[in-house]
Amino acid sequence: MNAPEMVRILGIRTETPTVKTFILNKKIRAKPGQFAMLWIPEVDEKPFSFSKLDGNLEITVKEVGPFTRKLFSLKKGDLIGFRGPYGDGCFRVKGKRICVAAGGVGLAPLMPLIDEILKGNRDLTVIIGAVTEKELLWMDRLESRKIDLLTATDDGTCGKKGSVCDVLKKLVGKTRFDRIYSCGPELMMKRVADIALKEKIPCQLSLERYMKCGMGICGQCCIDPTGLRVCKDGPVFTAKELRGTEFGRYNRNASGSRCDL
Amino acid sequence: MKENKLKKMKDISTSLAGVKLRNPTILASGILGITTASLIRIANSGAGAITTKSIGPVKREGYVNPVIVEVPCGMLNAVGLACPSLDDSLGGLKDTLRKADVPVIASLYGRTVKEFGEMAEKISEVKPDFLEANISCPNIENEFGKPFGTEPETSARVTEGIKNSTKLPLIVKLTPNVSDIKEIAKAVESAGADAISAINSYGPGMVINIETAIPVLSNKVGGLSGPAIKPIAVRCVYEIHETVEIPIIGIGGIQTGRDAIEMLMAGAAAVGIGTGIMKRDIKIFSEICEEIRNFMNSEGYSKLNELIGKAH
Repeated sequence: MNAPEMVRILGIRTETPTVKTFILNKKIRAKPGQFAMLWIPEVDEKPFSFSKLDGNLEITVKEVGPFTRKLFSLKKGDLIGFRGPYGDGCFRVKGKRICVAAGGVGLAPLMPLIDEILKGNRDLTVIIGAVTEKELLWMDRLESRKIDLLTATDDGTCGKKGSVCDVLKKLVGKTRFDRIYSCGPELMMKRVADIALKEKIPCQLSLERYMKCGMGICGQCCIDPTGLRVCKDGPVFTAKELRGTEFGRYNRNASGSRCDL
Repeated sequence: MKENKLKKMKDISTSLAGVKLRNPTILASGILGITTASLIRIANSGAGAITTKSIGPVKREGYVNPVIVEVPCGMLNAVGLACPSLDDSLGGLKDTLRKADVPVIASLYGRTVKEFGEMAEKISEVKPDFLEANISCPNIENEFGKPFGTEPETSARVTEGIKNSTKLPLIVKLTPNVSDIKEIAKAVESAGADAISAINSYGPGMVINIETAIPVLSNKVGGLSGPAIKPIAVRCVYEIHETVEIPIIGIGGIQTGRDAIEMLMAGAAAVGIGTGIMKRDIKIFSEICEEIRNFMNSEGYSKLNELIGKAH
């Protein structure tokens, strides 16, 4: 039923100065990249991808506006409305040599994918980026696993000074990846998609749009000019599906008006 | 599709106020109708006509989420007539008309009788195939007052106002939330309506989350749609068909070819599909057409016309 079910917050972890993880008293079978609509009564309802699928679901959130501010004020034991999982378009693991490129909290929906990638015998490179070292998510968790980890920070406090895309661009010249997966700020993802298309490497990216129904009927999150719905056909799309679309250029607000990125 | 199969495919075309539709399935207003891209995708997926989300005089964000909640046999919605600025809406409509290979119905609303006329005039410049006057949104009473469609007199005044401002065929969308829908239908027909859409969502209704004791929809109430209202829609269409001569678009809970046929038999010349997409996704249009054809084949109908009003 597409109606919010109240679930308890079992715990809250502070990941970085601006990012928290919420552990939900909810276990479901979901795929990497899928999301739920989370409702804070009398506030709003917004889409969030899962950062952990095994056991209790987790969502990892950056404080960016009024809704996430409210979310950050919730405590262990509080209730939150949950409906989902949504999104027919999810990450699909393929290939032997894989690169994951994550910008900031964009790493969150990629974590269940990374878990799945590591279940097989694959070579995994993960590039994570953030404004500064303190904002780099899950360095320790990634370092302890069989991952070739690269970092980029805007201020150069950790790894390459610059963006995830700069690191990726150099890397694709040396290593032939079978797949690239990405999530992060849209302009960063656009560059990742462009690199993948140019190098002819299949690539999947997770998109964000203002959503209302979350289940593919209201039309709020449709992409120009294909009409693909981010909530139902996505939120994960291939770089090819997004080529020549609004991706990287504009999105729409609640009224349906265009907003340039 | 192979040509010989196309030849064998039964003709299920229909017509509304002189406009031919390749099949009787129409995308109802308010569903997947915000952008040109989405509308064209629905047209390409097999709909016989497409209806835009209601175009309003000024930009509106609508209500805060949640604006939709599912209930057994349907859903409640209170999106709150969200729309971009009129200029943006008209630009989008123009684009839709250029790209669509099926008739485009431009749904519109105004806050006053006069504004309905003004809206009709402006939208008519872009030349959609039809105008559809939304005089029946059940979710905006707090802001706009009682919907015009709840009284025969105001329904007629809006209809007349629009007809005086346009040469385009006008569909008036009626609300079931009245004691006698026949009176309203008669009033809008006398005032010049070319067709009637029936019905808009029912209610409004309310869902309260009991853990928090808070209504789920931010607007607290929302219009009920889906299979729950189908019997009401069928009854309304049946009554309207007995009362007026103008064609009817039957809307409310249609999910299958059998539902569509039931609505046609009640008197609808075409059917609107909206909430059904929640269950069957956008392939619902082509699937319902296929199901209608199968029924006609097995029951020995040769034309869609034979079904329309057959229950009378």
